[in-house]
Amino acid sequence: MDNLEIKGESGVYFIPEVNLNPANGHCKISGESYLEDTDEFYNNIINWLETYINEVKQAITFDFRLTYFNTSSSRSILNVLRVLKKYEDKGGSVTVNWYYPEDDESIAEEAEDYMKDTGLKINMFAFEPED
Amino acid sequence: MQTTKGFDFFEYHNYLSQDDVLLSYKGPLTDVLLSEFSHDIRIKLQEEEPKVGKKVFAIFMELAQNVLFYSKEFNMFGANRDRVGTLVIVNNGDYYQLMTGNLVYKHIVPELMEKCEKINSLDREALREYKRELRNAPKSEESKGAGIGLVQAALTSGSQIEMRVKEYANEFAFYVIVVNVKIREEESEENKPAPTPTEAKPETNEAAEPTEVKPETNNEPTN
Repeated sequence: MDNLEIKGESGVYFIPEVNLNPANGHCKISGESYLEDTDEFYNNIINWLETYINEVKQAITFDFRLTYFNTSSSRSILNVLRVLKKYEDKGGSVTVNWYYPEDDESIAEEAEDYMKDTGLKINMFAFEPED
Repeated sequence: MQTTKGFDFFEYHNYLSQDDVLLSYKGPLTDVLLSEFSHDIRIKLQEEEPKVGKKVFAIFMELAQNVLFYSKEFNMFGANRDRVGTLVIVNNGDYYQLMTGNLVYKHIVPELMEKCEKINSLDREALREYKRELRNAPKSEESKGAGIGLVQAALTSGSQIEMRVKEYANEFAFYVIVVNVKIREEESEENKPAPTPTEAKPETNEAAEPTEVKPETNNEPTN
């Protein structure tokens, strides 16, 4: 199974940096998310996760380190978390880490809301945003 | 010097050139334009108060995307059929005021009004619940986003959303949304009544930045 790597980019749209690694189950998404086709972008991630869950069947650690995402992305992130919760319910080992800029309580609040929505435990960490 | 029926170009230009007008645009909207505007907003506001600047940016993105997705007015530019809308951001001293306007079908107005009233009736916790409820629901047919842009705007701004509608004789109505973002966070006076735009300001020739008109002329009316 291949890595899924997407280079972060900030142009007309904001593409977050994505790195999903099947060798150790470490997944990371960071940066800003505002996309031309939000569903398509996150479906790539969901498809990768589903393949990993069906084939590799090992632990997953998913790190979110987003500094901005639009509401359309927030809906898609919820779908990603639902896939992780389903894996956990089936016995998979899932760790979700949510890093939020310390001056942005709305991103911290999102994690709280996602926990309520999915029942997944999300570890929250504030970080100091660099300029 | 007047052009047609009382339209005073210089007055118009002066008005838009005031320091407190951060953005004023009326015309076809595209993703490229939106990114230029939002980039501009970020640069301008980041220097002063990054936290407030980020709020204005995030709310602008949601409101502008609503216009970009749902406006019922179109403009043909070559092969592109772009949606038309009006985007304004002013600084009135206490608030950054974000305003967007676009055409909608009249028959959808009661639904928009209801949503806005619901948003304004909820406290922060209830508003978060409402957002989760909408986000969990399946996407509506016409929805191109998450359908929670306005709710998010209310959450991010921490204040009420103002909605104004002007119905036309045909099947359309002009739909305006106003969101206020407090410039100084320290002030704890919640639910301050919605401010009205400031009136006259000293005339300046600089500061004429992101408007759709950039004539090389002097600002002063010459008669």
